[in-house]
Amino acid sequence: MTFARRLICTNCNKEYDLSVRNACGNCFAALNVQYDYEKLGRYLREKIETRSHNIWRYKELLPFYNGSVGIHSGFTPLRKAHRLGEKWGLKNLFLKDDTVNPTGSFKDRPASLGVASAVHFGLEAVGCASTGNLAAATAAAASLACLPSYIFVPNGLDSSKLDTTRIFGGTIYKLGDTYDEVNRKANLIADRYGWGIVNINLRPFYVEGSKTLIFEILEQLNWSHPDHIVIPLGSGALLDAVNRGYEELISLGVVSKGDKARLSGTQPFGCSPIVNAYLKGSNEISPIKYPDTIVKSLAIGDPASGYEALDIIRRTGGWGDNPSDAEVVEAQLALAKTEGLFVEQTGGCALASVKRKAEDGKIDRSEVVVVALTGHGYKTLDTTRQFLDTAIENSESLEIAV
Amino acid sequence: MVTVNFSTILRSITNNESSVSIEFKGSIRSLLEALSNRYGETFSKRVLDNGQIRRYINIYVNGEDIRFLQGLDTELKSTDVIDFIPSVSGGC
Ligand SMILES: Cc1ncc(COP(=O)(O)O)c(C=O)c1O
Repeated sequence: MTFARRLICTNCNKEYDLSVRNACGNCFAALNVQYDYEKLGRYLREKIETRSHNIWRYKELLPFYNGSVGIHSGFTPLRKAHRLGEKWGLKNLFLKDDTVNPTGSFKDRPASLGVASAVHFGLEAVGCASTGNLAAATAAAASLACLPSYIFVPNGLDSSKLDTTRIFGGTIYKLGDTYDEVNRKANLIADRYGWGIVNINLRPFYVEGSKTLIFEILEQLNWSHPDHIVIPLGSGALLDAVNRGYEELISLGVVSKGDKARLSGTQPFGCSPIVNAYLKGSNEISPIKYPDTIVKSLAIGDPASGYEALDIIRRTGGWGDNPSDAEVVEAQLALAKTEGLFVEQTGGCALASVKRKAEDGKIDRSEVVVVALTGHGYKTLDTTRQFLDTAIENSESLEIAV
Repeated sequence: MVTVNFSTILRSITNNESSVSIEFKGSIRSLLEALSNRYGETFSKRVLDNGQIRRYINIYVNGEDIRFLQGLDTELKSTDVIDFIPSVSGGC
């Protein structure tokens, strides 16, 4: 059962049946899925709590339930970071640990929905344009659905991102030097072939999967509001989905109306088009032609959901922040050494921003802060290795008889 | 002849044409006028917003986003390939 009813344009409110399309035929803006909320609210909360621990726990708020795809994705731990919190002067620092998803990133959530919708529409193959994490997530979800997958990536990704994609049987195409170039070509491919490219022609359904991140955070906090939620921004789609999922639970009465958390976004200094607009107080997002950062997952110069993300940060009283690559690595390693958790640079970026905001008083010592750690460190070992300061010793340094 | 390609979703304003080759010299701005003559006034009404390209559409010349060129004033050569693509697509 789903309560999904129709697609609605985010700009002009024109409505469509649930169908394969990526944008409004009237004004070309993005489409979102709309639900029949009233029926839903009455029965949701108690139902949820009896369900198994994966994204389908919230299936009434997702399109196209599929009993095969997505079963390993989601319901990741919300960890309290005692030691890192102490180091940075925060009493209630929580980490939403999405590194434990099957392919090591939050992308297993939207990819599962993208592939489930491809199955729903009877498509013969799936694919994606990816900065690396969606690649493996789409290939893995495709293998659960027994569909071939075609994965479009830029040059220069960590080899572990490519190899994990190949392990799941995904066919990789390197389509250019930047994500934005790959994305443009993937659009042309989506037009040419009858494939479901999850973040292009299945995008309205794909992005719904990311709402489960906020559903889980709120449930794990006993349906109470944190003070801050910090989200890394690439295209801005995750923050947009988090906000929409949050609003849905509020309008359903699953969480209370007042005290919604401030939603904040972080991007690396070398590619921060959304944060730049926020910091300048501008309503215009200027695309970045050549992203220059080690945070490859966030190297999107022309963010598709940038305006939505900017608006959400402003409306919820959050902040935008853009730490340097050096700060990113410092925070990444601080997490490893205090909490025993290894995240990719994206998580380092979010944590570096939290450290800055704790220092400048934007986050109060006792406030509840939730940071989304969206990808595993093993994904970016190639990039991380250069920053390691412990040597690999040889055996002569040990006093043992050989 | 310049070649102009329209992503599926834009074909609602091009009488369902996915691609057109036309004899043309001038800027993107005047290309939009030429296309309006071909497809009717709704074409430029839906592509432009206050005289600027609507936020939800990206225009590329030989694969290069015109925002990195001279925007609407980008001059076209006779062999150029122009793509109209919705900007909301993608998102890693
Ligand atoms: C690990 C990780 N975190 C965050 C993001 C940003 O997501 P979005 O593009 O939805 O803003 C990405 C995008 O690829 C990612 O791979």
